Amino acid sequence: MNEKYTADGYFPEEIKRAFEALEHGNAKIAAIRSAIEAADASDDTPFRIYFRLELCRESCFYGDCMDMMVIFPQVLAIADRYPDTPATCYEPGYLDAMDHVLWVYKWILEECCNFYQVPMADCLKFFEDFRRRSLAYGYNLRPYYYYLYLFYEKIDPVKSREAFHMFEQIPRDDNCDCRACERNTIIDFYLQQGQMERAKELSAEIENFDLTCGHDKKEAWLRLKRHYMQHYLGRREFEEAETYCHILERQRMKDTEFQRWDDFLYCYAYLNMGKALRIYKAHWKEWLEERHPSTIFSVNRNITCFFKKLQQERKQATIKLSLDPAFPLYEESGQYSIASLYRFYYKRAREVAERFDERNGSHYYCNQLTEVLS
Amino acid sequence: MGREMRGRRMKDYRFQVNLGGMIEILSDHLYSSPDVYIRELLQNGVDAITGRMIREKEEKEAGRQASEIAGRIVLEIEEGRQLIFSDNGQGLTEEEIHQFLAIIGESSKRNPADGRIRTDYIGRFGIGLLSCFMVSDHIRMLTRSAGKEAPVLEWQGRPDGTYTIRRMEQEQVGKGDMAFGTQVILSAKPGREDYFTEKVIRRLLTYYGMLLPFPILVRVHGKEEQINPIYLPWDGRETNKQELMLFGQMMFEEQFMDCVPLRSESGNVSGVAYIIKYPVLPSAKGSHRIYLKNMLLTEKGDNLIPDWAVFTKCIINATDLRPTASREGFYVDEVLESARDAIEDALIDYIAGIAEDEREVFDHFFHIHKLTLMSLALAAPKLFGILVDYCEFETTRGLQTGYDLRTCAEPLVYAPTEAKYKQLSQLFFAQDKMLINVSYVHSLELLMRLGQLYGLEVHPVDDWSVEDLMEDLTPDDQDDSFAFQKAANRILKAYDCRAELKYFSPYNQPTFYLMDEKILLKRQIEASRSQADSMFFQMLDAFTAEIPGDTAAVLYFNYNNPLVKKLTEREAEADLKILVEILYVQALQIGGFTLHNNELGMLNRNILTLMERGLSDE
Repeated sequence: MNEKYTADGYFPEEIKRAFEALEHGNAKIAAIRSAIEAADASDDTPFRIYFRLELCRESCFYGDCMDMMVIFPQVLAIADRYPDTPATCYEPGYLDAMDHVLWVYKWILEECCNFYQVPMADCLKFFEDFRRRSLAYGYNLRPYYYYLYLFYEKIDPVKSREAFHMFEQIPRDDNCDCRACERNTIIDFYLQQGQMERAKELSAEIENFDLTCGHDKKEAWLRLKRHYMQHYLGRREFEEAETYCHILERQRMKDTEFQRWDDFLYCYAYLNMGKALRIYKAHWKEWLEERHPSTIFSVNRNITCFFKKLQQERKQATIKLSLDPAFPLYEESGQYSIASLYRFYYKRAREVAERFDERNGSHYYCNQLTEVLS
Repeated sequence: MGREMRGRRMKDYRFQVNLGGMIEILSDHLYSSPDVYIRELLQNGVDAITGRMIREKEEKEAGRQASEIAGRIVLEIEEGRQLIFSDNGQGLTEEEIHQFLAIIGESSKRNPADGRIRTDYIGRFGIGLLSCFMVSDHIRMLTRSAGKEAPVLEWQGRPDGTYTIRRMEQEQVGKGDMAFGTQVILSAKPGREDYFTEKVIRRLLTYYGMLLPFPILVRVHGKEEQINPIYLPWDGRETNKQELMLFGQMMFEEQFMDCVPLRSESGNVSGVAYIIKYPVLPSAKGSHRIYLKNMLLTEKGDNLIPDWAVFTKCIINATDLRPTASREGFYVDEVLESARDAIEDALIDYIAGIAEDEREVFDHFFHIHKLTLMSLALAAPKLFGILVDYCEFETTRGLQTGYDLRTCAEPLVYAPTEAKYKQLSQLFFAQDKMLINVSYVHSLELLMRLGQLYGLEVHPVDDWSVEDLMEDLTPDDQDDSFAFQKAANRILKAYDCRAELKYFSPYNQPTFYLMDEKILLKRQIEASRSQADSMFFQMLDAFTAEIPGDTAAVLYFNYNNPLVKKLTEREAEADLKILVEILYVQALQIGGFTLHNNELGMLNRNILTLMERGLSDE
């Protein structure tokens, strides 16, 4: 049950056990914050860092990354102030606290491109800082180029490809993502390049579970399926995409990367409108409350496509939906104009697209929005 | 390839193997503990007996005479010094010794026709005997091949990889029905004497060999005792529950609440799941007895027993699942997955069955294992409807079950975090409104599914629900308190907070602080900014800029509270500032919010000021 740490003493092990028992989500994040407060109050530097990194993990893999982006600067500051801090007993495999911080730094680099609020100059500063720290720590630059490739994917295809080729040439070391994760990224690269044969060849080991990630044997395999799904959705090959949607839908993984309900919505908008509508009704509220900018864009883009298709297929101009007053266009009657819903979501997608393009100095997002609606 | 190598003919080379080193690796690193030497001896013994029986059966089918001597295994113990392990299996010829004992990886269990390992045997890989080097520096083996006038051969192996073979004219492997077969003689190496005591050997025999189909006899000072029952209590006979329960009690040395027979055609898996009588944490590692062909393989049920079945201890025997090389687990393949599904279904059917037909048993079962069953309710849709009625939720009306919630008329409002629940529960309680705490493990998901299943209104507590618990001031009270509200707003602006006056219960609560997610985020960003390197300032400021400018927390002043009423009559803003700030910080503390340094400092300063005034008034 929800055990509390004793007010009479500070027991980080008990605190950790208590928050680990919670479901992923806001409750767990709140409990981890309490853990951070307790560690801060006791001036327990290893756990001050460790609990913050746990918050980063929870936010990154089971949340919207916002908490991670906010708290990471604190972690780095504490680790810099106390550079000799050892890792806790819960961090096997890390040489010390800074080693773990460097690992999590990679997630920040990955998310830079997904948060338009991070100015381009700052993104580049973070990359440069990570590069300097990696070399100082004795690590090579394979992860640096790996994340640089991901960063430039939607910004500058030329720089992205250059970074990818640099990444490929440097051998692996202990700060690299696991082989399965790297393989998935490489597969995605070839899918995007249109090299299907090469992608399939590289997929075999993951398909056969010879290459797996972490504790869950299925994680890398599901990630592979997600890449293929998004590849086919990008090409508007919905029947192909549906196979993968079906696989991902049935999983009970809590990781946000597999909760692709907006992608399923987009796919079923073309194949099974009834199912698409059910998905919209089940998820409209969480989509409204989304804080992750890149997800806000993709979600609103997909919902826009859905309503566009609905408009085309439906004879009536309105639809009955049970939304609540939290919805900005809330109607007491429950009858909504499809055209109004389309415009509402388009506007949301467009606003975010423009912010991304402004930050990136490109037209990628606006072009993508125009393309999917054409 | 170097220039000098190009174009030259290629020569074949053989890998060189340091046999002593290999034996060390296999015996000290492949196996998890020296305990397994007994398991390996048992395995070889059982396989040898099985081999003899197969051969005898083939002889009979071919019309030739064959003995029908029952298989037996005898362990003669010289306490702390020596163990003689005898079986009356098929024994080995000299050729077989060279072939199977000298070549690591050459298994005697291969079918000569196709080289494949027969499924009748437990062992597969031809490395089991090496485990004896963990407890002994020297293995001496006497063997006589069964069914012929074969000589007694002695094989002696040493860990450096050397061995000898010789004929023993004067020796015997045993008498009567033990006159053929194999005797393995081990002497304790220094530090391993414990493994040659009756107590330890009995323990290991019971642990590994309880289900073996041949009698295992322990002989000490001439006295012999059989330690195993030689049959599976659940197999091929009418299932007697009492007998099964007693068997489980003997195996696990504890009493159980109930037992569930298990069977899967896939993998040829059968056994019993025993329901534990005490609560077990969902994260607890299971302790089972998983047997392969009647020999204990592992205590871990990882791949075979469902993760949620932590309330069971299972005894399972499989004949057609593939063990790993260390023989301490199974390969994950379709056969194993199918067997697991069958076990899962049996347990789910059991729970559904007792829920329907044995209410008292089910109530007791749920009471003990509720946390695990909450997890199971989510994992097994078939059971959700049954289990959720029993699941308990903390509410402002005390503990309510799923049944209570689904039959109550009002919407189900929940606080997503412990802090929010703590903050709001007083208000809700005072108003006799129900608020549900879903910060407990599984609670939120259970509640949402309950809502979906029964078409109930389920939603998180929002600001507007909180304001519903408060009443607006009458026009006269609004007029009277107008100046105070304006002053309070000026004072609280520095803390991103605004003041509101309302009537609410309980009357003795002077204030209530409400902070939404946006303000919480703003405070978190401020905290980060105060500690971070300047490299992150622009990013953090950009996040803050996205939060609407008019976002503010609200400090509600309770006009029902006598202290607040007096406060509204104060005019001097300097005095008001002190009192409002104290109430503000107090409200933060009651609500469980983290205080920033300036807030704590402010509280200290104001309390000291009041104390000074109080003391100077005297």
